[in-house]
Amino acid sequence: MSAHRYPLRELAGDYARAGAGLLATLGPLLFVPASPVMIWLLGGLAALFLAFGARTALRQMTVVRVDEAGITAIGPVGATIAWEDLERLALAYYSTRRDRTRGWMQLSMKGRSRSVRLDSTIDGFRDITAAAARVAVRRQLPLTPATIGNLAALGIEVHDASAGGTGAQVANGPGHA
Amino acid sequence: MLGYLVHRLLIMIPTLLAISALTFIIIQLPPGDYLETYISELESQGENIDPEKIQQIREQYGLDQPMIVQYLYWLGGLLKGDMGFSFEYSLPVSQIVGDRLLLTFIVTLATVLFTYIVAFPIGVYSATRQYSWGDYGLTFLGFLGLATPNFLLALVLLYLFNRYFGISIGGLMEPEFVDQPWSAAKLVSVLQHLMVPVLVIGTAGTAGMIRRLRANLLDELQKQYVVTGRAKGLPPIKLLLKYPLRMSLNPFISDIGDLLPELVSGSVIVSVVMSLPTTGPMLLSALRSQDMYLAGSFLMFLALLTVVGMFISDLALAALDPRIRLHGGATK
Repeated sequence: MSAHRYPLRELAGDYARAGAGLLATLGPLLFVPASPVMIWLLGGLAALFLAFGARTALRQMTVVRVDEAGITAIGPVGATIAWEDLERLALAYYSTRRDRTRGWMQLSMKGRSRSVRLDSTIDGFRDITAAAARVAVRRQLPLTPATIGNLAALGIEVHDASAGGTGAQVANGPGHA
Repeated sequence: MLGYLVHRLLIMIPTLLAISALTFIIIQLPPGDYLETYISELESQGENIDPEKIQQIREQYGLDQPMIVQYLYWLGGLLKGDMGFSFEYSLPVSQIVGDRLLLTFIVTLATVLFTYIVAFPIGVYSATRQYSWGDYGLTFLGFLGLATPNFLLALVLLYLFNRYFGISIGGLMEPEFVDQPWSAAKLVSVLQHLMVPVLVIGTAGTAGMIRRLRANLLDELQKQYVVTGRAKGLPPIKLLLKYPLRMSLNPFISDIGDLLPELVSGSVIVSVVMSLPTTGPMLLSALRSQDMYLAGSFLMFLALLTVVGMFISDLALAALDPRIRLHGGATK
């Protein structure tokens, strides 16, 4: 069994983003008598930044445990997915740059009724992803080309079992993420 | 996706602020201001103006204040829904641009829909039936659309629609509806008059999009995974829709960012030729007369369209194809 947390230095950036967003949206509303349209617009954006700040706080309080039975997020909004119930796995890559560099990955897993999403900022992200990918291939879950490409970037080579492959193999290289 | 949304929004906010500052500075850069332009016009007509009166007007409109004060006053006003005062029209900017922005939005939306509805099926057809008679014919039409100057097409279509459908020449509605409150009859008139500008403005964009979609889809269809799928006996429609079409849409979607402002600013000549009551001609006039709040508001609107367009296309791309580029590399 392994336990994983989001490091504080990574969360600090997200807290700063939530704070900057709230300042940029609520600040003008406090000092200028804005029009109703602007109040709704800036208020909506402020709510979004607030939700992001709350999600960051939840992540700070969450510990992710991975074992042979499944994956469990322990925290205020916890969830458990047994590997045998894994129904969907997707690995997405996001970047705000035009050349798509300096981005981050997000692993989404869906079980029977619960889902777990993890960002690549969490400790041991590659190990969690490799474990989930092995299960996905064993259970012959359909993986999109984007997921397969992103797994390859992490050094996790996935051979589609339905195409006669041998299952997920984790390469030794560090990958790109 | 929430994280991506927040990252992307945090780039948008300073971008818009920087654009607003640059817009304001650039409008102020030419020597003098609106009043000086106005005074020289009057003097060239032989009229004398009292210097005290000029100073009084300058103080009234805040033109004697430093640029930064004028900028902050304008920016604060935008938040309050007050876009400033137009010197040329002696009216608040919001009153002048209200109807024009709405009509511009209607023309823009109709043109975007026309472009996508026409370009999408033709592009797919041309790629899947490469070198067929249909492909040659549509390619010819596409090149014709790209090569025909918009203003020329506008003149021809205005004549034809007037001759055969009785639609009045120029404008976006029958003359009796101008400056009248909105009604069902006015809306019908606007929709009737919309056909010509939408055809004129949309033709070149449609032709360009057909070419790009055809080229992208052809690239995808020649890739190995498509050949493998075909060899495994996947039905052609499923094989086309599942991945190649999706992948070839990437450049199509990233066009949205450029499309929105282009439709507003790029159609100025067409709007002048067709006497359309849209924002383009008014922006041109405001820039020439240094009507800074009017010009600034228009430019901010264009900037907003650009930034929002980019935002929408980035979100759509992130949802459609969240893949890493192997030569890039993530840092986290």
